[in-house]
Amino acid sequence: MSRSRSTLVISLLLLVAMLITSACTAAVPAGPSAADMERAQTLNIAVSRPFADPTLFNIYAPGFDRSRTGLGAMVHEYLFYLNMETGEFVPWLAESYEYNDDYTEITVNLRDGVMWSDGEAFTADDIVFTYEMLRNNPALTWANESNKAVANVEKIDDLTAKFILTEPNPRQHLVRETFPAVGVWSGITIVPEHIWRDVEDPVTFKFDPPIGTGPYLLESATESAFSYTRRDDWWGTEVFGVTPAPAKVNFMHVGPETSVALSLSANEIDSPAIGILSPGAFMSVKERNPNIKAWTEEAPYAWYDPCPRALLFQMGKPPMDDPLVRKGISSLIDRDQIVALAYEGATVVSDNVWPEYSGLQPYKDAIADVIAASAVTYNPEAAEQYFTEAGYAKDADGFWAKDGERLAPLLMTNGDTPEAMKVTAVIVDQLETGGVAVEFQPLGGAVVDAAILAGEYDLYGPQAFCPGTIYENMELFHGKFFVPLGEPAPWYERNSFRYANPEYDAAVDAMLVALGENADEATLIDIYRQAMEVWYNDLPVTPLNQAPALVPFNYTYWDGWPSAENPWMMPVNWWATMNLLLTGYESVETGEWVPGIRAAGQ
Amino acid sequence: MAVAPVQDAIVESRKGVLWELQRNRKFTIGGAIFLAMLLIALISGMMIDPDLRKSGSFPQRLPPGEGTLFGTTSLGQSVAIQLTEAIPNSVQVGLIAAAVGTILGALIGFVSGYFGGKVDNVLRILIDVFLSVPSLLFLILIAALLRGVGVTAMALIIGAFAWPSPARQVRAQVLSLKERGFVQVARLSGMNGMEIILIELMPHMFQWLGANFVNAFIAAVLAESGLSILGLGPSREMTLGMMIYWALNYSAIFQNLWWWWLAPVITLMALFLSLYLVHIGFDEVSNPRLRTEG
Repeated sequence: MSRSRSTLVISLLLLVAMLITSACTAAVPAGPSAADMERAQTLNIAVSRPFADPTLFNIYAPGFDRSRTGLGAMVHEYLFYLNMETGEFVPWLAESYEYNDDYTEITVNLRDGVMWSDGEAFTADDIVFTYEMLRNNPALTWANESNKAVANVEKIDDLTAKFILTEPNPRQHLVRETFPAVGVWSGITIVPEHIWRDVEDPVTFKFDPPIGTGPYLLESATESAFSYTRRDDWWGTEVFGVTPAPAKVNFMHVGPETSVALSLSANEIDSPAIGILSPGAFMSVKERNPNIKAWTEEAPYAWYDPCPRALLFQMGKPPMDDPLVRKGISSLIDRDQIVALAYEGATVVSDNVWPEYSGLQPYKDAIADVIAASAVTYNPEAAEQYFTEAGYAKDADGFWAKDGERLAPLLMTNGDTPEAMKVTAVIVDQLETGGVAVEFQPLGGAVVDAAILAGEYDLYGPQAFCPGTIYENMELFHGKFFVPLGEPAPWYERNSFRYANPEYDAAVDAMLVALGENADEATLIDIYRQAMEVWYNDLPVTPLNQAPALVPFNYTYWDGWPSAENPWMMPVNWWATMNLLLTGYESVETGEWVPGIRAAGQ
Repeated sequence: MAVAPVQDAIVESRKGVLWELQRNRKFTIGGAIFLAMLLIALISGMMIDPDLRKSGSFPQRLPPGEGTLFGTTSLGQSVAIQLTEAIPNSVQVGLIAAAVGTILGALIGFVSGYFGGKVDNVLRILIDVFLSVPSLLFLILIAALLRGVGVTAMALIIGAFAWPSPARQVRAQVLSLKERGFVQVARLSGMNGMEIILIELMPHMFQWLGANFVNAFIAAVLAESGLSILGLGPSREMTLGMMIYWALNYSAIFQNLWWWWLAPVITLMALFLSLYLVHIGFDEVSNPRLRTEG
């Protein structure tokens, strides 16, 4: 009896306590917590992997990760930025540039009022110093390329610098490896002379804290996040009269794809970097959180990165030295199926190695008949003809063979990237179905670099073809980049496939001359056509598909993101151009300020 | 007079191993599940048109029952057809790796324990070194270097790290056995070292080696799955680990394609359970103290 009574008393006391508590809670007006307020002012970008060395802030140190740290966009700024969506070459730290008559010099006029974050003025001395440093330290990233193209930089006065080139090049201002402007991804970064002149070894220098001219300061860096805070004293606020909206920006690793998808659904992330979200996962996120929107409202959802994918043929040795075999293989690849299975519909097929940008359309239209007559579409009957013409016949098991030896090309890929594994899984099946006994070898880490540059493959892919402009992608196939098998080629798509055809080279050279003479588009298109007639006949690589960048934005906290409907900027949080997404920029065409992202509801 | 009953007992116990095994319920149930899974996979695998294994053979992401038994993947492959290839391949990895590990381990253990001296010193150090290094680390390293290896090569790599533990235990057993009377008698009767190992010592270790083999089998299937899930598996052949790798690669869990990842996971669990029962059965027969009624 006594026990049941005490239980009753305790229960009653608990009930009273609960009522009092709930009354108190109700008395406090509901409102956002401090954490909510902070989140609403913060921009969170999810990156693909943790940061190996969170003490290194030297963008020139070999191995420094420009894509994931955000340092190139938050802390550093560049003289010009190329807005690929609008075609504008946006002046930033500089106001203008001009070439001399024979394209051997570029004079750059710097903007007045640009300051480093430690209060020093940004001047031509910093540019002169940076190029001297690159010349004295060839181990720095891009130093070799830069030294080959730029002989010297002279200071005319504090706000004028003159670049002396080693050979005439009317496209110099677009080459990221040699000029402080950003087209695709990054460019030569100008460093503050007053800090770097005392550095003994720029290769091992940590650059802690990193000093730049950008609107943000690095606040902290750990293995899992690089965090930036907005500067109140950024020069742009005075000169342009703008302040970027986010008070804080975090580049953070929250885990693999599933974790990123969950964080995005729960509004913990505002945008993931490229290559993390698959279309299937994106669709699930979209269902859970309607504020998540991608570049397009409907499929394919992705923005097209300027680097289309292609499969490389190793032409330095049999069997791929035979153009008929290359065309046979190319005709067996069903690109629609690759898009459907490997990319889950998030991209479109490509019959050339240039991005689907409207500015390039006249060029593509001009070679439509060349492409139609080529071997870059799925056609098993044509493949049979090519292989037969090349002297192959099907053996008892249905595989193509010549002189008793099967056509068994070695297909290499980068096993570290899910995209490559998915695409090659489909290609291997397609080639086997077509009677090619392909051998498959995924490689990873530094091994894949060495093997590809030395040309140890018969087939390699999917390979990105950057930077995607007409001339620059034409030049990738130039014979001047040819090195014999075994020696390292300049880069994967820079002729690791050992292509050399003087007729093609002549067309590329003619294109450069025409660009220097400011030839009209009809002339350029004519030269392009000549080059492509040779190219499609030789088929040094076979195009596969456009490069999808499925980087959705979260509209819960931030608004004004670019999209296919409002394509004011590329959606690139892994490029140095990302700062323009936050600050906006002055339109070259209208002279008006195109605003960056803003807090939602404003 | 006193010798005869002892001999009878030995004969009976030797005859009894198989008899005991087939009487052991755990062993028979485990073995039956294992064989049933393997046979169903092998037989149905032989009846399937190889072209149906290729990507794009089926509509993508179908749930189970809608045209296919266990549903389809994002790559347009049937999960059931993948299982018919994955089960035999995973079993093959287990068999080869366990055989290599057990035979190599037994050989090294016998030689080290029986011959002693310098041979023993060298082999003992070798065993200790291999036991002290984390084998998974080495497996990841080797698999990463030899990307794209086949099922057999994968099994050999795993087997190459499976011998130190049996080697040490066999060595310890042999150290004790070789001092027994029957070994002394064999030596006096003119048998050489290898003959004594093979004829006199080996039969005493059969049951223990059998249990070790099953254990190594489980460990090898597990190692293969782990490496495959990390993306270091036999990329052109399907194993249970590679099925999980592809499911993760297409974020099947987040996308609610449960049939894709659940099928290999349940199969792996069934495989482990059946082999574990076989292992317990072996243990009980070789070590009567563990035996339980029924």
